[in-house]
This record gives sequence, C-alpha cells and structure tokens, in this order.
Amino acid sequence: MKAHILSVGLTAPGLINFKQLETFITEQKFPNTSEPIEKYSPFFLPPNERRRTTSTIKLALKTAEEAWSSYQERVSNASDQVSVLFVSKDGDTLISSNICQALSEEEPMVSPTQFHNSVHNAPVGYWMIGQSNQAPASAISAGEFAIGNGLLEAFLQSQERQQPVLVVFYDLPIDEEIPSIEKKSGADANIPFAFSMVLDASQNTRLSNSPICNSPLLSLNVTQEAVEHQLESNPYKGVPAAEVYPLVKAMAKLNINRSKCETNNAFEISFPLNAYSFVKVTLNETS
Amino acid sequence: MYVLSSALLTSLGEGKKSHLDSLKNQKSGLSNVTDFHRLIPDIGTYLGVVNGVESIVLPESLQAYTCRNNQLAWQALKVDGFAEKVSQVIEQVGSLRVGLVVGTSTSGIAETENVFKFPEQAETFQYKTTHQMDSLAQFCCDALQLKGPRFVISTACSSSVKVFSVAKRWLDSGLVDAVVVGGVDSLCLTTIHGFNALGLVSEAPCKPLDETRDGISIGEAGGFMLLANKPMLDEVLTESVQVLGIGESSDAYHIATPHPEGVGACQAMRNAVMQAGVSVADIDYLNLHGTATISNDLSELSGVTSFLTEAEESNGLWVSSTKGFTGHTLGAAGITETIFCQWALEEQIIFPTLNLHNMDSNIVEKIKGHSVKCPQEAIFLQEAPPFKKMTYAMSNSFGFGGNNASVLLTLGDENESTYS
Repeated sequence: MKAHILSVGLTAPGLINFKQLETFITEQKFPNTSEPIEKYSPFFLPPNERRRTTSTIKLALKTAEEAWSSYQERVSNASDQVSVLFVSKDGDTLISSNICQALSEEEPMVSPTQFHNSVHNAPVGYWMIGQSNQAPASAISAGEFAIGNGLLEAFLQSQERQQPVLVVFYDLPIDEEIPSIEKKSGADANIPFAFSMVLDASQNTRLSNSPICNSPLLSLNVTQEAVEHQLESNPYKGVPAAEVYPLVKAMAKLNINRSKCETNNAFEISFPLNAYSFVKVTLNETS
Repeated sequence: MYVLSSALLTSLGEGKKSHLDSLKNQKSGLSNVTDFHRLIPDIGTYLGVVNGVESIVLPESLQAYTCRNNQLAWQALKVDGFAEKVSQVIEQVGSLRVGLVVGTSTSGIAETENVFKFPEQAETFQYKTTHQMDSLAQFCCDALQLKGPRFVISTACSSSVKVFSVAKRWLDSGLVDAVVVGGVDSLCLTTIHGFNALGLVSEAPCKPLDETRDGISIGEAGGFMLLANKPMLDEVLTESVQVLGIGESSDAYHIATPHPEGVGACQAMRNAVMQAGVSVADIDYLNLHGTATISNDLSELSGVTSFLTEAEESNGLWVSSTKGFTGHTLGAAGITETIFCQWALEEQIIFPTLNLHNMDSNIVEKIKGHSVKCPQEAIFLQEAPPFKKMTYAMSNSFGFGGNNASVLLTLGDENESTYS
C-alpha cells in the first residue's frame, strides 16, 4: 500500500510545530523536552464549545489543525469533507480521574460536561463540529501499538473511500491520581506527544504538477520481521504516539534536502502491529 | 461478509434461544431491583443487568484482565459455541490471519472507580489490562488465541457498528481471512451518574418513541460475530446472513445532542445502502437506535423520513427499537442490535418496540405519508399473509460527538451470493 503525505502536524514539549523541527535539524539544535507544551485555544470552535475543551482535547485539535491548514494551503481544491481518524491509548485520563474522584464521594456528583467530554471520541467530535465536517469520524485505541494500527487503518480508509484521510495520534501521561502497577515498574511515560498527517492512498490519476504528486510517498507492508535499523535514541520515548518521532524526523529531513535539491535516501522503519507482526513503513521522495 | 457465527449475552440471557423467547413474548430484561442497585442508592432507575458477572472467574493465564467488562466478554465468547467456531477457523487459516476489532465506551473504568473508593487496593491495581481503552481487544485476542491485527473503536454508542467497517477493509485488502467483531460495555457508576447528570435517565423502563418517554434505561451486554468473505465452516447453511454495507457519518452539530433533523442519521443510512448496492425501498426492517430520549427518537425518525423520501416506491418499512428489552447497552448496542437483525432475518420475525403505547404525536407527524410500520407485538412474517420474505435488515447506532453508523444485513442463498 502506498500513500502520499500531503501535510504534517506535530506538537511535543520543545517543539511547537513541524516547521520548528525542520529548523532545529537545519541548525543542528535539539528540542528541550522538559519545556511545557505551548498554550493553544481552538478558535475554530464556537465560544461555548471552546470553553469546554480540556488539555487532551486541545493537544489533539492543535495538532490536527496544523496538518489540516497546511493541507488546505497546498491543495487548492481540497474537499473539507474528509474522513478523520483519532488514535490515542488512553484518551483523557484527567477526566476519568476527576469523575472517579467525584464518584468516590459520599454524594457522587458527576459534571455533565465532564461526562460528555469523557468519551474517547470527544476530541474528534469537537474537530468535526469546528470544521463542519460530516464525513465519518473514528476514535480508536491500540494501546502501545498505536502507530502500526493507526497508519494501517488510515491507509485502508483512504484506499476504500478514495479520498484523503486526516489521522491524528495523541497521548498524554496518565493522570497521576490513577495508580497502577505499571507506573511502579517505571514503565510510565511523562512526555505528551501528538502527530498528525493528511494522507492520500487513493489511486486517482493526478496531474503530474499537482502538489499531491510532489508529496513524499509512504509505503506500508505488514511483515513478521522488523526492519533492522540503527536509530538515534528517541528523546520523546514513552507514550505510544511518540514512537513515530524517527519517522517525523525523516520527513523533516526529506523536506530540508529537497529544498536544497539534494537527493534523499529511502528511510525504513517498523512499527509493531501487535506482539507478532509489524508494519514496515518506507518513506521515499515522490516516485 | 458472511456471518459465520455470533454470540450475545444481555440481561435477557445467553444466546439465540433465550433472546428469541423474550423478544417474542415481550419479556424485558430491565429491573429496578438488582444487586447493582445497591451501588446507586440515590438513583431510581431500571437497569439491564447481566446477573452474576462479578463472580465469573477468568482462567489463570488471563487473571490480570479481571474486571466487569472482561468478565462479561469472557462469558459472551462462550455463548452458542462461538469460541469453538473461532478455533475452527484458526485451524484452517492460522492465528495470524484472524483479526479482532471490538467496541466499548467505558472499557474497565469500574476498576478505577473502585480503586478511588478503596485506595488500599492501589497496590495491586492493574490499569493496563483493565481500564486502558484497548484492554478488551487485548483480552479477547488472548482468550481466543488470535494473533492478527486488533484494536478497540471507542466512539461512544456507535462503537460496535463501526467495527464492521474495519472488518470489511481488513478482509477486502486481504490482510486477514476472518475477523472477530464485537462490542462489550458493562455497568459502571460513570455512565449511570453521567447520564443522570445530563437528565437523560428515566425512572421507568425506557419507552422508545412513546409520547411519555423520558430517557434511557442503561444496560450491559457483550456480543460478537465471526466474519469472513466466504463461508468457512463445515456446516452447510442453505441460507446465510451477510453483512452487505456499513454507513458512517458525523452530525458536526453538538457534542451531546443529535442534529434535530437527523441529518447525520440519514447520511449514515444512505451510505450503508450505497455501499451495499441496494435501494432504499429494498430495506424491510430497521432496528432503530431508539434510545427513548426525547431528542434522539424525534431526530432519528426525522432522519428515517428523509431517508425514505429517496425511495422510488415503498413496500413499507418495519421499524422498532429493542432498547425496552435490553436497555441501552451503549458501546455494545451496535453489536446487540446487529445480532437481533441477524436473528430477525433467520427467523422472519419483526421484533416489537416494548413499552410503546402511544406514539409521540411529533413522530406521528414526521412519518405521516411514509409507509412506516412500528409493531407493538412481534410479527411472525410467515404467519402474516400475504407473506413477503424479509431480505434486508438495517441497524442504526448513534453516539456522543455526533457519531453515526448504520449496518445493513441480508439473508441470501449462498449460491447467489451478492457479495463480491
């Protein structure tokens, strides 16, 4: 399966967007992963809805908006009714924690707003409202296997509907009030991370000079063996969404080399689909 | 996609036989006196409880998954020989070639509720295998020994219809040879108090479409279907049920209230019919989302009316909501009612809308001029001349976030398969 990457969005501590990653790479600087995430408000939402958004919802929406606006800038006749897929391991654990706290009281009182925000598809629901997008919207969790499953699902949706798909991966640390054995074992992740893409796996024949044809090409194969690669250590390692960082970096490098008219070597990486299989992803300059 | 096997566990009981008994004889699974009610002394409501879930013991190797949601799943997987059928298919194609995609809205949040109430249990609390949103998929794969792709869809009450869409993509792309789809949602304080805070919980058993309806009754359920693009089991079925199309849409209207004109609902039904390659007039029976909230039922019937307007000629559409039997089983509502559609087709029975006495005059006004029939008692089509075979049945599920999905099933002769 192949898809063109039409645009990218990125939010992480020390990285306000994808462009900044390119700048850091060019200037050989490193993001400061202990910086807080930049403040953001989803102005595309009506004030009432905007007021109700939480940090989790904002992280997802900010990252979605970045890929979405750069897609709209690049593709002049872009349809605004495209399928959207949000991928997150836990969704909004601060809300779960608040609700469970309220429920443990003598007289439990759950906030109605917190309750409807607690559904896993709340962020994508706000996105669809804010963008007046009536296309299918999905919210999934594949636990630690977010990237492999999310990419595969986005590719298949785009292929089936012969349309671009907006896919957003976002994870925040689990709220500290929620205990777990995993935290004790040190397997906890403290750094939030979000990444988004508009990708197009449709087989439509494109005009050779269209921005779509000039976009990087991502190929995807399900394999039983992982690609062996020597990757630099991932400063964001922790939450499942952050596993995509080496690929995002490769995308940024590809853009930089292209702007300098330098050739790019193909970049390969495997993401586990589950404990038994992998999704092998190859990033190429457009064919 | 062929339905090779299905399994359902709700407050009505286990499996096809006990459900059919209740659906035919108008026996509800809802009750206002259950063990669970002790946990909600301040809320007077009817619940669709699966009795004894908390005492179901998981096998030693699956102990870490123990929570009400996975206990319910475990019991459901064993219904009507479902797990054995999955094993048979695994033997044929190998465990890597069978995928699993399941829906849930609250996963095992009851465990986290519990640990906040009894902090001394924090020492042994296993978040990842219970509350984590994909716990149900992890558990079902380990329980069924599947090694194919797997994840959870959690789009509130439409979750376990959207799973069919993923299964279709996986099968059509050749990624796998069979897929287990399903949905499990179990009772927890979060949903009962949450819906109560929104003023959406009825004190009486829910009354879909009725003029006195005043909210939902919450239920719990676990349901599964085994799907493949060709019949794979030894049993020769002369007529088998197939999933022909799935339609999805978004309201883009409000996070917790459906679009008043049912625009998204209509679009989901339209997309399902389009994917199935049939016409609106072909649909014989529609299992409504029909939650019995004031806004859902009116909005949904508005959507149904717009949908029917596209029919060139109408033979009449049977509609019913089965929420009066099971309660609203949230993330499991989709699979529950899709299995009801399967059985409706197999048995040629139209299930009634329980607790509907006088249809809301606003709904009557909406459907005026359309041939919509909404029975209050089960209709046995073979006994109701002139017999017209029911061939196409559809089920609607809508969720918070304006998330809509419809799935269309058909009863067909294997030899004249309509599936390509």
